[in-house]
Amino acid sequence: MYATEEALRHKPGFGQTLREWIFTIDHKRIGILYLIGSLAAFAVAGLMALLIRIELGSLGPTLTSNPGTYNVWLYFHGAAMILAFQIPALTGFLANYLVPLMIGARDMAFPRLNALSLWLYWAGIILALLTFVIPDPPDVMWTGYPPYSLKTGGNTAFYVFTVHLMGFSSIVGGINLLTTIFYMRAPGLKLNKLNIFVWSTMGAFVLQLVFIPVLAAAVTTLLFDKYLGTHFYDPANGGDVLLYQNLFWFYSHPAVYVILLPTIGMIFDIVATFAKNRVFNYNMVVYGGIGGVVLMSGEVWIHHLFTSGMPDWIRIGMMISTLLISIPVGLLMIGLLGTLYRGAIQYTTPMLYAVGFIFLFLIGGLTGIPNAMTAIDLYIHDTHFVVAHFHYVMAVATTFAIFGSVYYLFPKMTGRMYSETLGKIGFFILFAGVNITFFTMFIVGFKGMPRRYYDYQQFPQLEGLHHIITIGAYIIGIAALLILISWIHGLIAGKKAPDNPWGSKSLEWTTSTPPPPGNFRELPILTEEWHPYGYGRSK
Amino acid sequence: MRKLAIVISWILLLITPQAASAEYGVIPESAMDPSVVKIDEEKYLGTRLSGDYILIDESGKEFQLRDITGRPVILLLSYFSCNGLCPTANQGLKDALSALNRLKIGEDFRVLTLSFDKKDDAQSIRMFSEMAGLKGWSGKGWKVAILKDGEDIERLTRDVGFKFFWSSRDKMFLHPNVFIFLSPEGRVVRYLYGTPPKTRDLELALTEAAEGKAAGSGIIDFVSMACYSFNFKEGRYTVNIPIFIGLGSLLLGISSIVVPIVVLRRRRKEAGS
Amino acid sequence: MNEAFAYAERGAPGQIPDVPGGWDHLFGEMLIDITIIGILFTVITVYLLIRYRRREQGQEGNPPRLTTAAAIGWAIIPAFIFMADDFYLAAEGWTLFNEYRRVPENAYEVKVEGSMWSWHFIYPEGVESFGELRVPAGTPVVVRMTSKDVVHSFFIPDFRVKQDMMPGRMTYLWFYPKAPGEHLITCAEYCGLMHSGMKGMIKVVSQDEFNNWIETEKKNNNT
Repeated sequence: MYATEEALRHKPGFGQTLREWIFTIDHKRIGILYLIGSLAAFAVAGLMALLIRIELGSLGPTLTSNPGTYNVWLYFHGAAMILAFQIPALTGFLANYLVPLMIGARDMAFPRLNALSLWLYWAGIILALLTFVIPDPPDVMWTGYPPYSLKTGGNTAFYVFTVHLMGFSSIVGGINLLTTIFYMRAPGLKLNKLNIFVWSTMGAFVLQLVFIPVLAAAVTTLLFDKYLGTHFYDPANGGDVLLYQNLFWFYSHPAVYVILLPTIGMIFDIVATFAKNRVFNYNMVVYGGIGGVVLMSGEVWIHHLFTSGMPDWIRIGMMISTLLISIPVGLLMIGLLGTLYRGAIQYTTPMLYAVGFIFLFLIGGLTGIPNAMTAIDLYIHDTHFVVAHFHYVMAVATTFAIFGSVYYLFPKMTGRMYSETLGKIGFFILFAGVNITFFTMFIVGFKGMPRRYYDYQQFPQLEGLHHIITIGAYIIGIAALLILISWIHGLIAGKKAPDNPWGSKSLEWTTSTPPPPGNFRELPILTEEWHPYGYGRSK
Repeated sequence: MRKLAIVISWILLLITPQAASAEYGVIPESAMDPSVVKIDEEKYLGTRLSGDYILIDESGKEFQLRDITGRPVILLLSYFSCNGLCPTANQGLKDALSALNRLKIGEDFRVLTLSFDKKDDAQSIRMFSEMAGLKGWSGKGWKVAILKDGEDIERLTRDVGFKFFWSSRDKMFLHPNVFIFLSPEGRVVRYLYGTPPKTRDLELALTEAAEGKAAGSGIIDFVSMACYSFNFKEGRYTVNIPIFIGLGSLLLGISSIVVPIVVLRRRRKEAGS
Repeated sequence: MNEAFAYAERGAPGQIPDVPGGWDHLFGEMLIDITIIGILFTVITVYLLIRYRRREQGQEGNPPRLTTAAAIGWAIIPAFIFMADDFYLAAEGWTLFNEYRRVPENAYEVKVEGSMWSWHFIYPEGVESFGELRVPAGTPVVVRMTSKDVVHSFFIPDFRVKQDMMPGRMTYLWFYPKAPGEHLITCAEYCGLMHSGMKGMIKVVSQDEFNNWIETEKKNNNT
C-alpha cells in the first residue's frame, strides 16, 4: 500500500525519466517538485517586485504609463509570494521532504493524496501565471476587497480559483501530514522527542485546516456576487462591505502564523544542528511558543481593520490581544537564544541564514508593536511602514529560512555539497540588500507614503528615499541570482556529500544521502537516550 | 444628484399630468407614486438635527428637542387629522415595541411622534393619541408633539429629507411612511420602512442608533449587528448571509480536527477494553 | 469607564486635545521601548554568537541541565515581563485612541463622499466643493464620510488621522487645524486605477475669510 514497494522497483539515482517524476508518489520527490514550483513562483513574483520598485524609483511614469499594468504586478507579487511561494515552500516542500524523514517513516500516510495536493498546487501556479496571458488580468491585490473586486473590469475569478486550488491543496496536504505525524512515527519516537520543525508544522496545518474553509467561503461569496448576481457584499441590497474584510482576515491573519511557525521551527533545527546544542527549554518552546501562537492566532485579526470602521471597543480589545501575541513569540525568541548558549556554533551558510533570520525577525517583530497600537496605527496603517514591517517579519525572514533550509538540505536532497564561498557571498549581499530596501521603507512609511501607489506626486520629497529602496531591490535581485548560481554550481560541480555532513543527531541525517526510496534501509530503532537534539550527552 | 434629478422630474410630471401620460402611459390624477417622496438616504444619513427646536406636547407644555435626545429616538413624522396610515403607523410601532424586551422605552430610547401639519394643536394631539391608542405610553417616553413655530416644520423636514405634499383632490398629505432613528446626539442614523415595523428591525435600528452605547452588552449588539445588515432597497434589515457561510466553514474546519480525534480516541478505547 | 480614564489624563471636556502631538509623543515612546528591547536582544545575540562559536572540530554544546523549576521560571518570568510591557503600552495607546475617537464639542461638521477618484465635500451651509476642503482655523473639524462606490480611505498625514470610507456605512474622523495653511489629503485604501492620484487639499483659512468664502459660494449656488 505504501509507496515503498513500487518505489523500490526504480533504481535510485538520476536515471529516472520525466514521467517517473511527474507521476511520483514518493514524498521526497514531491517535496522537491514543490520546491521547484515555489522557487519558480518566487522568481516571477520577485521579478514583479523589481518592476514595482523600478516604477517607484523615480517620480512619474517610469516603466509603464498605465497604472493598471502596475496594479497587476502588485496583485501578482502579493498573491504569488504568499500563496504560491511561502506557504507551499514551507508546508509543501519542507514539510513533505522533512517530516517523514524526521519521524522515521517510510513515506507519508497517503502517498497518492500527497501527489494530488502537489498537482493541485501546480494547477494553482499555472492559473496564477495565466495572469500574464488573459486579456483582463485580476487587479484586486491579494486581499480582493469588495466592492472594488466586484466593480473592476479585471478577472476576479482567476484570483478566486487560484485561492481555491491552493487552499484545497493545502487541506489535502494537511490531513495527510497530521495523520502521518500521529500514526507513522518510528517505534520509540515519543511526542516529546519530535523535532521542533515537526511540532511547528503540526501547528501550521491545524491552523490551515481550521481557517482555510473561511477564506474559501469569503472568496466564493465574492465570486457569486460578481458572476451570479447575488448581493452578499452590495450595501444597496443589504450586503455588508466590512464583512468580507472580516472573513478574509479571519483566515489571513492565522495564515501569517502558518508561515511563521514552520519558518521558526526550521530555524530551531538549523540552529540546534550548527550549535551542536539541545533546544533550550523544549517544553516552553513547544507548548508556550508554538501552542501559544496557535491558540492566539484566531483572535487578533481586527488589527488589519483598525481604520476600517469597526466599533471602538473591538479595536481596543484586539489591540490588547495583538500585543499579547508578543508573549509566545518572545518565548520562541528566548528558546532560540538559549539554544545558542554554551553551544559550539559553526558558521556554515545555513547557520548564517538562521542568524540573519534572528535579526530580521527581531526588527520585524518589534516594529509590529507600534502597528498593534490602535492609535499609532491610525496614522501608519496602509502606509509603507506596514509594508516594511510585514516584509521584515514575514516575507524576508521567511525567505531567509527557506533559503537557509535549501542550503541545509542541499547535501541530503542532491547528494552533493554546495560551495560555501558562493553561498556566503550570496547571503551577505542578500542581507545588505533587504536591509537597505526595507529599512528605508520604514522611513518612507513614517513620512506618510501610502502603499499600493503607482506614483507619488503628493510626496515629491520622498523621491530620494525611493531611489535608495530601488537600489536595494536591485541588490536583492543580484543576490538571488548568485544564490541560484550557487545551487546550480553545487548540482553540477559540487563534491559528493557524506551521509551526515553536519554531524546532526536528527533522524533525517541517519539515512544515506540521498535517501533511498522508502527512506531507510532499515527503520531506525530508537533508544531511551536518543533525542534529535541530544548533543553533548555522550561525553 | 441623479436621484434628486429624478425626484424633481417626477414632481414636474405630477404637476403636468398630461405630459406624464403622454410619455409614461396613463397615470391617474391622484397617483401616489412613492418615488416622489422617496428620501435620498445617502444624502441625509448622518445629518444632525439641532437640539433647539421648541415643541409642544398634548398638555400645551413647551420643551426642546434636546430634552428628549440624549438616547436613541424613533422619530415618526405624522399629521394628526389623518385617519389612515398615520395612526396605523403609530399603532404598528406601539405593537412592535410592546414585543421588544431587551430595550426599554424611556430608559434605552424614546419615541417622538411629530406633526408636520401647521394646523395641528394640543387638541388634535390628544385626539390623535386616543385614536392611535397611545394613552398609556406618553408617560413612558413616547411624546406626541407639534412644533411651536410653524416655520420650523420646513426646516426640520428638510434636514431629514422628508418630503410631503398636500393633495387637494384626496384631502390628505402625500408623505413617506418612515421611522427615522436618531442617535443620542440627534443624528439621523437609519430610515426604516414598512408598516407595521418588525420588532427585530426596530431593535437593530435602535442598537445602531445607540452607536455602540446601547444598554445591552456591546457583544450582543455586535453579534446582532453582524448577523443582519440594512437593506437600502427594501428599507429593512435582512440577514447577512456570508457570516453564516463563514461560521459554517469555520465549524467545518474545526470539526475536521476534532472529529477524527474523538473518533480515533473512542476506537482506541474500544480496542483497549 | 474609559471616559473617566481619558478625561482624567488630559483636562476637562471642552478642552481640545492635541492629537498629532499626542501621536508624536506616543510614537517616540514606542521607539524608545522597542529600541531598548531590540538593543538588549541584539547585544545578547551577538555575545552568544561570538562567545560560543566552535573552537575545534567535533566540539559539541555543553549546556547545564535545566531543573524543572528553572524551566518553568524561564517560561513564566519572560511571559510576565512581556505582558507587563504590553499592558503598559496598551494603557498609553488607549488614552490616545479615546482622544482620536471623541469628537470635541461644537466641532465644525463637513460631509465627505469619496468616489473613484475624488473627494466631494458638503458643508452644513449647503455649499459643496470637490477636492479642496476649506476649513476655518481654530475650530475642530469633524468629517462624516461615506463612499459612492468602493472602499477609500481618508488620510491626512499632517494631522495623523486616517479612516476608511465605505458605501452603505458612515464613518468619521476629526482634526484640529490651529493655524492657516495647507494640508494634504490622500487615499490610503486601494481603489483602482488612479488610487495614487486620489488626493486633495485642506485649506485652512482664518474664520473671517472662511465666512466670506461660504457667503460667496452660497450666492454663486443661488444664481
